[in-house]
Amino acid sequence: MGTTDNLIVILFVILAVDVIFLLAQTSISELNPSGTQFYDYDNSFIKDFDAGNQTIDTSHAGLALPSGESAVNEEDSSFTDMFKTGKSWFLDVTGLSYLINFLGAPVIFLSMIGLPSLFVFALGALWWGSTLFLIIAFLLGR
Amino acid sequence: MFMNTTGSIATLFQYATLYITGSEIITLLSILILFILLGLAFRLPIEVVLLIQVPLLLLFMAFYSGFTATGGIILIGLAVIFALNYFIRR
Repeated sequence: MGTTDNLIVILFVILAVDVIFLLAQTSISELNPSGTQFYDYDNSFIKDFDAGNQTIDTSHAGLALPSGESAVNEEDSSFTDMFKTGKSWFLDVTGLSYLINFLGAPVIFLSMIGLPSLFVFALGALWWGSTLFLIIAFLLGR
Repeated sequence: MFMNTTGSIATLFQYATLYITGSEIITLLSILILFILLGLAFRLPIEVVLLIQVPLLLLFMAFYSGFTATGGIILIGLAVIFALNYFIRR
Protein backbone atom coordinates (compact mmCIF):
# COMPACT_ATOMS: atom_id res chain seq x y z
CA MET A 1 0.00 0.00 0.00
CA GLY A 2 1.20 3.49 -0.75
CA THR A 3 1.29 6.56 1.46
CA THR A 4 -2.16 7.78 0.50
CA ASP A 5 -3.70 4.37 1.14
CA ASN A 6 -2.13 4.24 4.58
CA LEU A 7 -3.41 7.73 5.40
CA ILE A 8 -6.90 6.72 4.26
CA VAL A 9 -6.72 3.63 6.50
CA ILE A 10 -5.72 5.87 9.42
CA LEU A 11 -8.63 8.22 8.69
CA PHE A 12 -11.09 5.34 8.47
CA VAL A 13 -9.79 3.69 11.63
CA ILE A 14 -10.22 6.92 13.58
CA LEU A 15 -13.69 7.59 12.20
CA ALA A 16 -14.72 3.97 12.79
CA VAL A 17 -13.47 4.04 16.38
CA ASP A 18 -15.44 7.23 16.96
CA VAL A 19 -18.59 5.77 15.43
CA ILE A 20 -18.32 2.47 17.32
CA PHE A 21 -17.66 4.31 20.60
CA LEU A 22 -20.64 6.58 20.01
CA LEU A 23 -22.93 3.60 19.32
CA ALA A 24 -21.56 1.66 22.30
CA GLN A 25 -21.95 4.64 24.62
CA THR A 26 -25.51 5.17 23.44
CA SER A 27 -26.43 1.53 23.99
CA ILE A 28 -24.76 1.47 27.41
CA SER A 29 -26.71 4.56 28.45
CA GLU A 30 -29.87 2.93 27.13
CA LEU A 31 -29.26 -0.25 29.15
CA ASN A 32 -28.29 1.53 32.34
CA PRO A 33 -28.80 5.30 32.46
CA SER A 34 -26.48 5.63 35.44
CA GLY A 35 -23.81 3.44 33.84
CA THR A 36 -20.32 4.25 32.65
CA GLN A 37 -19.84 7.45 30.65
CA PHE A 38 -16.56 7.04 28.82
CA TYR A 39 -17.09 8.62 25.41
CA ASP A 40 -16.28 12.31 24.95
CA TYR A 41 -18.39 13.37 21.99
CA ASP A 42 -17.37 17.02 22.00
CA ASN A 43 -13.72 16.21 21.26
CA SER A 44 -14.49 13.52 18.69
CA PHE A 45 -13.69 13.55 15.00
CA ILE A 46 -17.27 13.00 13.89
CA LYS A 47 -18.63 16.10 15.64
CA ASP A 48 -17.42 18.22 12.71
CA PHE A 49 -19.94 16.51 10.46
CA ASP A 50 -22.79 17.07 12.91
CA ALA A 51 -25.30 19.71 11.88
CA GLY A 52 -26.70 19.74 15.42
CA ASN A 53 -28.66 17.18 17.42
CA GLN A 54 -26.66 14.38 15.77
CA THR A 55 -27.92 14.83 12.24
CA ILE A 56 -25.47 14.75 9.38
CA ASP A 57 -24.53 17.98 7.62
CA THR A 58 -25.62 17.45 4.02
CA SER A 59 -25.28 21.03 2.89
CA HIS A 60 -21.68 20.44 1.72
CA ALA A 61 -20.96 24.02 2.73
CA GLY A 62 -17.69 23.93 4.58
CA LEU A 63 -17.40 20.34 5.74
CA ALA A 64 -14.55 20.40 8.24
CA LEU A 65 -13.53 23.80 6.89
CA PRO A 66 -13.78 27.09 8.78
CA SER A 67 -16.57 29.44 7.81
CA GLY A 68 -14.84 32.65 8.85
CA GLU A 69 -11.46 34.27 8.91
CA SER A 70 -8.88 33.24 11.43
CA ALA A 71 -7.57 35.69 14.00
CA VAL A 72 -5.22 35.72 16.96
CA ASN A 73 -4.98 37.96 19.99
CA GLU A 74 -2.50 40.79 19.63
CA GLU A 75 0.52 39.80 21.64
CA ASP A 76 3.82 40.74 20.06
CA SER A 77 4.91 42.86 17.15
CA SER A 78 2.75 42.95 14.04
CA PHE A 79 5.13 40.63 12.14
CA THR A 80 4.79 37.72 14.56
CA ASP A 81 1.05 38.28 14.81
CA MET A 82 0.83 38.19 11.02
CA PHE A 83 2.78 34.94 10.99
CA LYS A 84 0.47 33.38 13.55
CA THR A 85 -2.66 34.51 11.69
CA GLY A 86 -1.34 33.25 8.38
CA LYS A 87 -0.28 29.93 9.83
CA SER A 88 -3.61 29.22 11.51
CA TRP A 89 -5.47 30.36 8.37
CA PHE A 90 -3.52 27.94 6.17
CA LEU A 91 -3.94 25.10 8.65
CA ASP A 92 -7.68 25.63 8.88
CA VAL A 93 -8.50 26.38 5.26
CA THR A 94 -6.59 23.46 3.82
CA GLY A 95 -7.99 21.05 6.41
CA LEU A 96 -4.45 20.41 7.63
CA SER A 97 -5.38 20.99 11.27
CA TYR A 98 -7.94 18.18 11.02
CA LEU A 99 -5.24 15.97 9.48
CA ILE A 100 -2.70 16.90 12.15
CA ASN A 101 -5.24 16.17 14.89
CA PHE A 102 -5.05 12.52 13.78
CA LEU A 103 -1.63 12.37 15.42
CA GLY A 104 -3.06 12.47 18.92
CA ALA A 105 -6.17 10.40 18.24
CA PRO A 106 -5.17 7.10 19.93
CA VAL A 107 -4.07 9.01 23.02
CA ILE A 108 -7.59 10.39 23.30
CA PHE A 109 -9.21 6.99 22.77
CA LEU A 110 -6.93 4.98 25.03
CA SER A 111 -7.01 7.42 27.92
CA MET A 112 -10.80 7.65 27.49
CA ILE A 113 -11.16 3.96 28.34
CA GLY A 114 -8.87 4.33 31.32
CA LEU A 115 -5.69 2.47 30.35
CA PRO A 116 -2.43 3.07 32.25
CA SER A 117 -0.62 6.21 31.17
CA LEU A 118 2.61 4.41 30.20
CA PHE A 119 0.69 2.09 27.86
CA VAL A 120 -1.12 5.09 26.36
CA PHE A 121 2.21 6.83 25.84
CA ALA A 122 3.80 3.80 24.17
CA LEU A 123 0.99 3.20 21.69
CA GLY A 124 0.55 6.94 21.18
CA ALA A 125 4.24 7.37 20.38
CA LEU A 126 4.08 4.57 17.79
CA TRP A 127 1.02 6.11 16.18
CA TRP A 128 2.42 9.66 16.42
CA GLY A 129 5.68 8.83 14.71
CA SER A 130 4.31 6.70 11.91
CA THR A 131 1.42 9.07 11.17
CA LEU A 132 3.69 12.12 11.19
CA PHE A 133 6.03 10.51 8.66
CA LEU A 134 3.04 9.50 6.53
CA ILE A 135 1.70 13.06 6.55
CA ILE A 136 5.13 14.46 5.64
CA ALA A 137 5.47 11.92 2.83
CA PHE A 138 1.97 12.77 1.67
CA LEU A 139 2.76 16.50 1.61
CA LEU A 140 5.99 15.90 -0.29
CA GLY A 141 4.17 13.68 -2.76
CA ARG A 142 6.18 10.57 -2.07
CA MET B 1 -26.96 -6.51 37.85
CA PHE B 2 -30.24 -8.30 37.42
CA MET B 3 -29.97 -12.04 37.98
CA ASN B 4 -32.35 -14.93 38.57
CA THR B 5 -30.68 -16.41 41.61
CA THR B 6 -32.59 -19.71 41.50
CA GLY B 7 -31.74 -20.79 37.95
CA SER B 8 -29.05 -23.33 37.25
CA ILE B 9 -26.80 -20.92 35.32
CA ALA B 10 -27.09 -18.36 38.09
CA THR B 11 -26.14 -21.03 40.63
CA LEU B 12 -23.12 -21.91 38.50
CA PHE B 13 -22.26 -18.22 38.30
CA GLN B 14 -22.57 -17.73 42.04
CA TYR B 15 -20.53 -20.81 42.86
CA ALA B 16 -17.84 -19.88 40.35
CA THR B 17 -17.66 -16.44 41.89
CA LEU B 18 -17.64 -17.79 45.42
CA TYR B 19 -15.24 -20.71 45.03
CA ILE B 20 -13.07 -20.05 41.96
CA THR B 21 -12.60 -16.44 40.97
CA GLY B 22 -13.67 -14.44 43.99
CA SER B 23 -15.01 -11.49 42.06
CA GLU B 24 -17.99 -11.08 39.76
CA ILE B 25 -15.99 -9.08 37.24
CA ILE B 26 -13.40 -11.84 36.86
CA THR B 27 -16.16 -14.44 36.41
CA LEU B 28 -17.74 -12.38 33.65
CA LEU B 29 -14.32 -11.70 32.12
CA SER B 30 -13.59 -15.43 32.08
CA ILE B 31 -16.85 -15.94 30.15
CA LEU B 32 -15.57 -13.50 27.52
CA ILE B 33 -12.16 -15.22 27.43
CA LEU B 34 -13.87 -18.62 27.10
CA PHE B 35 -15.70 -17.41 24.02
CA ILE B 36 -12.42 -16.18 22.50
CA LEU B 37 -10.79 -19.54 23.27
CA LEU B 38 -13.75 -21.39 21.72
CA GLY B 39 -13.34 -19.30 18.60
CA LEU B 40 -9.63 -20.11 18.50
CA ALA B 41 -10.22 -23.82 19.06
CA PHE B 42 -12.73 -24.12 16.25
CA ARG B 43 -10.82 -21.69 14.03
CA LEU B 44 -13.77 -19.35 13.73
CA PRO B 45 -13.12 -15.95 12.18
CA ILE B 46 -12.86 -13.11 14.69
CA GLU B 47 -15.96 -11.48 13.19
CA VAL B 48 -18.07 -14.48 14.22
CA VAL B 49 -16.66 -14.40 17.74
CA LEU B 50 -17.35 -10.68 17.97
CA LEU B 51 -21.01 -11.30 17.09
CA ILE B 52 -21.35 -13.02 20.46
CA GLN B 53 -18.80 -10.92 22.34
CA VAL B 54 -20.02 -7.41 21.63
CA PRO B 55 -23.61 -7.66 22.95
CA LEU B 56 -22.37 -9.49 26.06
CA LEU B 57 -19.69 -6.89 26.47
CA LEU B 58 -22.08 -3.95 26.15
CA LEU B 59 -24.27 -5.50 28.85
CA PHE B 60 -21.28 -6.02 31.14
CA MET B 61 -19.98 -2.49 30.48
CA ALA B 62 -23.37 -1.04 31.31
CA PHE B 63 -23.47 -2.58 34.76
CA TYR B 64 -19.81 -2.86 35.77
CA SER B 65 -17.50 0.11 35.27
CA GLY B 66 -14.51 -2.24 35.57
CA PHE B 67 -15.20 -3.45 32.05
CA THR B 68 -14.46 -0.09 30.43
CA ALA B 69 -10.84 -0.88 29.55
CA THR B 70 -11.47 -4.44 28.30
CA GLY B 71 -14.55 -3.38 26.44
CA GLY B 72 -12.82 -0.39 24.95
CA ILE B 73 -10.00 -2.53 23.57
CA ILE B 74 -12.47 -4.98 22.03
CA LEU B 75 -14.50 -2.09 20.60
CA ILE B 76 -11.34 -0.58 19.07
CA GLY B 77 -10.57 -3.99 17.56
CA LEU B 78 -14.10 -4.12 16.16
CA ALA B 79 -13.63 -0.65 14.71
CA VAL B 80 -10.34 -1.61 13.05
CA ILE B 81 -11.96 -4.72 11.51
CA PHE B 82 -14.87 -2.57 10.42
CA ALA B 83 -12.58 0.01 8.82
CA LEU B 84 -10.37 -2.54 7.08
CA ASN B 85 -13.16 -4.72 5.72
CA TYR B 86 -15.93 -2.30 5.07
CA PHE B 87 -14.29 0.70 3.45
CA ILE B 88 -11.07 -0.50 1.90
CA ARG B 89 -11.25 -2.69 -1.17
CA ARG B 90 -8.21 -4.92 -0.78
